[in-house]
Amino acid sequence: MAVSEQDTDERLLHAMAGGDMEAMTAFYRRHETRLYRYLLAKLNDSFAAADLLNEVMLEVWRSAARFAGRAKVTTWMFGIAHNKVMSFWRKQGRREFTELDDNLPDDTPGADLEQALSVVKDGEVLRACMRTLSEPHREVLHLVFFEELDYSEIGRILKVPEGTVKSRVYHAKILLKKQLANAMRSP
Amino acid sequence: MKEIDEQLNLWATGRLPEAERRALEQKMEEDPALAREAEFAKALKGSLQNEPVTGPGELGLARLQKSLREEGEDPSALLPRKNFWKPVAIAASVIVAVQAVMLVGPAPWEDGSTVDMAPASGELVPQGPRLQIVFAPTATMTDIQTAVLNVNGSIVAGPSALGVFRLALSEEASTEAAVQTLRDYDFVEEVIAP
Repeated sequence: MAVSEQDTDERLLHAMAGGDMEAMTAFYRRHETRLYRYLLAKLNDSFAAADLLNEVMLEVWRSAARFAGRAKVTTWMFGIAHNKVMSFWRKQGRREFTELDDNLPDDTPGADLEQALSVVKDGEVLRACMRTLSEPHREVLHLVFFEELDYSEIGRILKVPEGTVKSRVYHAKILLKKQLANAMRSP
Repeated sequence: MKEIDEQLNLWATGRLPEAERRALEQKMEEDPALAREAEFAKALKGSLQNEPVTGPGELGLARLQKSLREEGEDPSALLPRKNFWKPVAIAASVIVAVQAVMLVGPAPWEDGSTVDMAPASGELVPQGPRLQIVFAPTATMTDIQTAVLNVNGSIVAGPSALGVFRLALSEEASTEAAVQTLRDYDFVEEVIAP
């Protein structure tokens, strides 16, 4: 098929299901960066992220015919990426994440918030602080603030209830603010 | 704050519906702590979206295309490893061969004449039992060599159009053991003993 910028993701998937390599190339170019960013946010490792990007794209190619249109193509694609990372970690013997947010305070102390605000725009400090968060916390912050996805979509990607997403985002922000405030206080 | 957090995040990413946005901004005016939280969410969004990240780009695409080509060339991805028709074809070949012997008449050695069957290499053909074997399309020359040598056999005929080889074992060889050994290789599809 002759691929154009206006082709929808659904149309590209339909062509890919018929073995159209041009459509696959267009799909890759359209989604490569955002998928790589997501994998990097989850994995914190650029080499592993590049490897899994290849695996996710291969899976998209293999599964194109099975896309049922119940979710947006990007939600479906991030779901595949999430599963690939889970399998990757299982092979490495990593344990599944369990919610440990019960002991966290419900609000950020005002002083922490002010200090966090003063450094959050510093990309280098923010990156360093994000790296200290657990993978699920980094992941939800990425999906909310970079991908700008709704909590319901995030729930579908992660296969968790919307309430869990809500709580995870909230606690991820508290932990990030704490880390930023610590970074601000340390010389 | 927990209850309003989702709204703050939607506000920060500019996706809060108009009426809710106005109501939230009204609350912010009355509550400076809420306004600072909203400011944090907006700053976080800005910083995350401005983070420079370069993916694998065209190199990644080349890698993907190579993976797709390899996947397309992998016959095991297209065909089941064990093809049901091969044993049937081998059995049919055996029947045809037996019928041919019966129709042609007495074996040449029975009327005193000789049969000239020897490998072009000049080696002697083992006089032991014969097997028929089919290798997987992905089997390499080294694989075939390993399998044949491991049962101390020799290829005496084949491959036929169906990919069937005839294997001669040494006189003292155990047919059952050889069949089992050969069947254990992943790249061997069928082994049929007489």
